[in-house]
Amino acid sequence: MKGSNARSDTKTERRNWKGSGDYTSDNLALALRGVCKSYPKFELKDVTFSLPRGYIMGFIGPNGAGKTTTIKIIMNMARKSGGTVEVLGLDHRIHEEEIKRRIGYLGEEPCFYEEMTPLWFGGFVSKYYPTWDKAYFRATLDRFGIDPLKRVKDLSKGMKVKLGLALALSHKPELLILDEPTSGLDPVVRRDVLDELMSVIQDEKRSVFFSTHITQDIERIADYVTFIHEGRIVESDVKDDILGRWKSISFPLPVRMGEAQGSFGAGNLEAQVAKATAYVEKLLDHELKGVFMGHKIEGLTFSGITSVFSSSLEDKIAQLVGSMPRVAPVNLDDILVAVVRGNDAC
Amino acid sequence: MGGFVGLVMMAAGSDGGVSIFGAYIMISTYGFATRSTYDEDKSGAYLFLKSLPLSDGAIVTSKFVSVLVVSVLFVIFFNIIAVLGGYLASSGIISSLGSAAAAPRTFDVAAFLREITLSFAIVFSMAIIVAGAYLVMFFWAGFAKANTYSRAILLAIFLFVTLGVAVAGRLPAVQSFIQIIETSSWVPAISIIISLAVYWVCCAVSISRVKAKDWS
Repeated sequence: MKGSNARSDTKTERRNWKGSGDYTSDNLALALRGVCKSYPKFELKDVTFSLPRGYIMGFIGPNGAGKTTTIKIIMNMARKSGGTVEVLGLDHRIHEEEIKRRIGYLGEEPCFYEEMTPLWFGGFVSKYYPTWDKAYFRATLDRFGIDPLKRVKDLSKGMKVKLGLALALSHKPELLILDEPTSGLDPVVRRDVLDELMSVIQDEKRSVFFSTHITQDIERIADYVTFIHEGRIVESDVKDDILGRWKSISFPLPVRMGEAQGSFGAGNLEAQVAKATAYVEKLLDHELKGVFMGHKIEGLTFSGITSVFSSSLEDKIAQLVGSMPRVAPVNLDDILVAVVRGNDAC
Repeated sequence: MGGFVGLVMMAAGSDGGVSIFGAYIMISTYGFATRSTYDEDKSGAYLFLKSLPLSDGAIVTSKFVSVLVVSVLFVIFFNIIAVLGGYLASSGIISSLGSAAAAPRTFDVAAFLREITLSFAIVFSMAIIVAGAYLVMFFWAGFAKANTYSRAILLAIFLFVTLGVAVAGRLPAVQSFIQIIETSSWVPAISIIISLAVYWVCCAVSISRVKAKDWS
């Protein structure tokens, strides 16, 4: 079983794999390298990330970050202006039909012929997949509570998403690509969709790549996380590694250290705080340059979010400010906000 | 509805019945093409098809084939209705509808079909050329623009034909040309072959356009 809270041996294996640089096209479900695309007011630039087979990757970014464009490029619905895309080890343009036979896709807005029924769609889609499992499709419709004879136009948005998921899953795809599948759904339907995804990935060979701006969904089920912002990949790594590297750090301004060392000179507290603040700002420009994605100094406390946390960084900060910093974990939501807003996130 | 109106006109002995059928073949073929593309445009179903293991060529060709098949079915349907109308007109069963009821006479189906073949062939040819042009516009520029442009083209064709008949129809050269067309047995076949060629060129242009299109 994989997904969030995956088996520890699987995690270890994953880390070792990553460390040994053992990834080849054959063991990658998805690999994008230097993908670019330009629009008049938006640019996707040097998008590079990969997803090993058998894992779930959450693709996180705010609205307009480039998630849907990236997915449409993978699906060959949008034309890239540069870079390469390999799906299941195959070029996404040269082997488009073969790839689509082996993957399942659910778009942001499920698009169906409105007058047709779920049953008709099952029959129509099954013709294109040799591996179509009719019994599974009917069982999934039943499980989702979808009337197979009801016209699509009479289904709610949640039901349409579930129908799209049933269609995408019933040919047993090796890779499932989902574009914001839970966006706009109520919590109950969202839970149903995520539970279905969780059951899908019990099969170790299957991979899932799904975009969302709802980070709780990623926290629940993803093994890997890729952050995208303004058309650029900000982070792409194992979720637990990201959460291990991203920390919230806070420490009191080194007023007393300045007093002890005499480096701030004598004066009233207000002046000493101002000097300590200036000292910390100077650290951020030199010794701690690039360490914090966002920070703020409020009263006598500094707080910031870093993406490069390690025990040596902790020791270095302790040495520079004269006291051990307080380190707290952050969640993906905090990271997303830090990525998008920088200093305003703190 | 078109079949019924034309049927009544033919049964009543009017020559306008076949013209009505022709108009309905044109309108029905164009209407089917616009309606089916409207549905796809509205629901975004093309993206659904793009997500399936289908090539752009297969998706576009299936659309062209479906319009062609429906057009042929319309021609067959209206042919049957025309034969029925011709039979009713010749049998005098509902002669009271006609202004000049004639005595019942023998109805030769083969001769009647030969008589209407030219009209149906030309109408069918026009219908699929217009539908083909519409589909190229649809795959090129989307439903809204295709709908607007194609209506303008249809209006231009209508005015051209109407004015052309009124202005040039009386010229001796034109009249002799029309006579040649009416009496030549090869014209229907040539008309259909040329229109089918144009139709498949439209299909090929649409495929190349769709292959280069960005659906983002």
